[in-house]
Amino acid sequence: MIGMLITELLKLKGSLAILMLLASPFLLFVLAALGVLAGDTIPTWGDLLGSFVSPLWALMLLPMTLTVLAALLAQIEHGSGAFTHVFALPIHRWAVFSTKIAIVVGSILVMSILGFGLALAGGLVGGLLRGVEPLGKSPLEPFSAVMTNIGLAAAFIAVLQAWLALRFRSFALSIGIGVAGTLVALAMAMTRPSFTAFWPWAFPLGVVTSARPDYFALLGLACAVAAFPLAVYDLSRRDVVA
Amino acid sequence: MAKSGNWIGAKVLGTLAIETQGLVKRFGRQVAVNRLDLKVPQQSVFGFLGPNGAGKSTTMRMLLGLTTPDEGRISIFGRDLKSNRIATLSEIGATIEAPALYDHASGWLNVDLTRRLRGLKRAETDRVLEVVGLTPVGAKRVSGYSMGMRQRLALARALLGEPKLLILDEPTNGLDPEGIEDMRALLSDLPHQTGVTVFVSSHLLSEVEHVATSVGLIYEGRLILQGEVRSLLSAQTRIVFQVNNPEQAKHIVLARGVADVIANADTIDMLVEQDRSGIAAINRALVEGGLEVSAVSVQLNTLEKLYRDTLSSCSQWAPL
Ligand SMILES: Nc1ncnc2c1ncn2[C@@H]1O[C@H](COP(=O)(O)OP(=O)(O)O)[C@@H](O)[C@H]1O
Ligand SMILES: [Mg+2]
Repeated sequence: MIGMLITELLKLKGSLAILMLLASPFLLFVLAALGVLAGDTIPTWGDLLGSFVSPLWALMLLPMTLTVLAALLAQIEHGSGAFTHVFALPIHRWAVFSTKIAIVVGSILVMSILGFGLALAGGLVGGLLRGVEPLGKSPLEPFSAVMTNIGLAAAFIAVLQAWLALRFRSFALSIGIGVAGTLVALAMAMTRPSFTAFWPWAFPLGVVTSARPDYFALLGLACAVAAFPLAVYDLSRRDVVA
Repeated sequence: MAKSGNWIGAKVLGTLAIETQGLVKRFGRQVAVNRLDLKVPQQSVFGFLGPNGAGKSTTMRMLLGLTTPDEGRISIFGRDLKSNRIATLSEIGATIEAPALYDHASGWLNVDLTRRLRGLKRAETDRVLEVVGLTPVGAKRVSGYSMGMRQRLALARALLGEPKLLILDEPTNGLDPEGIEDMRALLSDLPHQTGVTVFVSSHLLSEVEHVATSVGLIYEGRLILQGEVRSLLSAQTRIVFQVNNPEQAKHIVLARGVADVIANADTIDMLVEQDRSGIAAINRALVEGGLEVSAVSVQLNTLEKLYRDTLSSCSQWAPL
């Protein structure tokens, strides 16, 4: 399993996937810096990270990045017809698919840690440029809790998007569903916030908008854990067409 | 030493490298592979021939467990594929259809990823790249490779771990004449060198006729013909005698028990068993019968002719 994980990661060398992994955390850096620089007043850390950066992360950046990342990862195989080659090797299909999905889920961890650090750095750099510092108490503890909960809540999106992307050759389909899912989540956030518990792409948003962030974290995690074996089973039993 | 001892020792008499029984694959209402009974002898180079769309790739996908047959059985080296998929695949190297390569990665990495998944030593990657002559460009991205280089890279990948069976789907597709010649040379040498069995498909006879020891001809999903090239070719041959009296010559030959004789303006031609003394005997009978034989021509059977004849008789019979 470890060997296969290393193989899968080596495969990403030189692909766009690595860029994706770095791009959206870097966007948090830019957003946080702008948040300090552009406001009329100097925001508190709570305003900056809690009300500005993390909702954007939860609603748009993380789900969309997972969508694109899953598509890229799958397209590396679909695009070249490589599954035909891989599955003619003496390895188990379930192991290949598990590894792929695990990488998409695991990317949440990497992006969350990077995003956490870069958002803080963005706030500091913005303050430095403006000659001030965001006010209020230390952001480390609440912000890390929010990022963790968002990450867990997004685990189900990761599994779903990886499943779709691996299942269907067309990347337009999985990306289309990811985009539509996110747009619906956005509409929900504005009109029916109570529905977020029923829409996977809105789970991370629930973390920042609802009074019970840990509920959404748990929900995302539980759904991911349940969906993972189903996805692997469904993918493995199919004929390898190309 | 140990290596060659291995494959000779493992060769159980009568065990075929590939054997299928009643293999069927349907796509909707279309029967892509229709009751296929393949018999591929060990250490043969088996040319799997058929026009585009005949069902070659679909058959190969089933042999690799990529596609599940709707009916029939597959056994490889005497083992049922379905119940021994992993163990069987560990003895097979394959390329299916267009070389499936990761364009963004180097040639070396492409091979090495497979090497890792097979759990082989790192030196294997360098060895197979050397075999196909790609060592100098191993560090280059595959996106910059020509079709010939891609085919060779895919072959290199298939050679990892010295498999007992190579399944190669149209490995000469897109190669220039020189590349085709190289591929031929490689394929015909392999069985002697490592005891491998090569199951290679093509829609062009010319690409396998000089290397194949056995052939199978597939047409619209059915196996029309299969066997050792030697015995398929030696079955019958056409002979033409130029004589001064064809009608009389025909009677003489018919009297000797040759069934298929045609008298033309100044020749007779016939189908006989391909054996020298038989031809000489007919010649003597004609001369002793008072005829002047001015020329004899023996039209040797070629795989080319067999392929063409079989295909044309098939298409006449093909149901619409
Ligand atoms: N995945 C598939 N879905 C539907 N039809 C298919 C599929 N794969 C192959 N076919 C059909 O099966 C037939 C045999 O195809 P194939 O095995 O690729 O032929 P060959 O390799 O001999 O050119 C063709 O008519 C092809 O259109
Ligand atoms: Mg084909």
